[in-house]
Amino acid sequence: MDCRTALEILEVVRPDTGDLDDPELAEAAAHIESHAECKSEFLRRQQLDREIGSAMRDIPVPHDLETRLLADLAERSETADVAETVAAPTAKPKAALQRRSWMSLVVGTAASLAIGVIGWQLLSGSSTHVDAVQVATSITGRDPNFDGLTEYGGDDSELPADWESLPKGLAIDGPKSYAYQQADGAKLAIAMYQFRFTHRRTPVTGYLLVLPVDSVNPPPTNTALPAGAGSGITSVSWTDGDFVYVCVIPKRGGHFRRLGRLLDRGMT
Amino acid sequence: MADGSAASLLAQLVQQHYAALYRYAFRLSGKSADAEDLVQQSFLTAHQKIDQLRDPQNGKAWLFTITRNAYLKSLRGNTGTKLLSLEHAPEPGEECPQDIRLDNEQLQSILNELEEEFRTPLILFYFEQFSYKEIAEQMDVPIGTVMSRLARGKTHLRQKLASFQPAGSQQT
Repeated sequence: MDCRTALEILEVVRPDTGDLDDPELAEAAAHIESHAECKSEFLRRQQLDREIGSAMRDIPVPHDLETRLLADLAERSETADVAETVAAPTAKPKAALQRRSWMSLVVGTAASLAIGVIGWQLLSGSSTHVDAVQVATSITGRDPNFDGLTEYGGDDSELPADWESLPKGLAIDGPKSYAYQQADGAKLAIAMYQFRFTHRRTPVTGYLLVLPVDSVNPPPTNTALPAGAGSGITSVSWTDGDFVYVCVIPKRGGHFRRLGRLLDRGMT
Repeated sequence: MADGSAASLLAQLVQQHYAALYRYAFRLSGKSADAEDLVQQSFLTAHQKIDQLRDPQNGKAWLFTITRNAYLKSLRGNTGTKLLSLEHAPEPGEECPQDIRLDNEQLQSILNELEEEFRTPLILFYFEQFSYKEIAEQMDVPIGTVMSRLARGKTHLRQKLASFQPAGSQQT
């Protein structure tokens, strides 16, 4: 190992820590011990790192920031409590904020499908509310010709946070404007993303649609792409804050678990 | 997670990490107002996604990841500033300049001109909050990539800091 390589490897050593004891750095550490000039350069860099680190961390924090953040969170919790109380007489029990098991996903998805179909029938003719399952069904098994769609110009196109992290292996394009035909024939522009990943060396293409929560009836009770989403499912929908997301993988339904793992990797 | 315990955990996360998150957000964005917005947005996301925090011991790394994602999101559509990539910069290896006088504004301006993929490892390294392995996990890149970006970033930082010094004030 030459001096340049050893010094480059040792750039990751934080001053005054045990980093230098890392076995992966042992060869470089041994090298500088055997070269006085190299060690001297390493020590100079460590000293400069101390000074840069001190300056880097020297940022005054607004004195009331903690108070404001705590107040903001308290307010949001109270708002959620009030909303739940008001909705209590007719609403289903709100799903706990936790990932569902595979079995509960299957049951939940089946229930959503049933509720969706009934809900759509009851709402037939309404031009202001759409059903997530119907939106998914309008895509499943069809080619939406994503490349041919126009760019989506609306504001309602926010990706979920775990998609925003763009996990390695997941490519996302969009949003584009997907023209969803409602029951009364009117067309509704929905923000649509196309995503791509590979599963067992097979390229998989899917679509994520973003709808304002107040335009969907009923909004899905899932709060995240369920961890156990598995075989036989071609679409999953969930609610996240102000948005309902409809995730569709046309034709092949067995790839959701792989997608969930990619998203997990991006969030943790 | 029960609502009460989630609220309690969130309050704990705020109290323990808000200052570090603010400093991180400040170094990422370069502006106090943007840093406050990013921290607020981060805790809002944490509030919505608290079920995804499987181990509260990982709360700090989880929040830092959320903050970085919020920052990356804020960059979307911002094509006005040409940032510096060090991907093809000369190999690190020059001698370390001495007697550098550090100026906080100069330090920030150097960070601001770097592409995020080089800026973030530098900030996280100098914050001394995370090991390079943890930085790799947060950025979802291999450890070797972090090490390489860190080495290039540090070399660039030293060169730029040296260039800011008045003539004759440094030895090499």
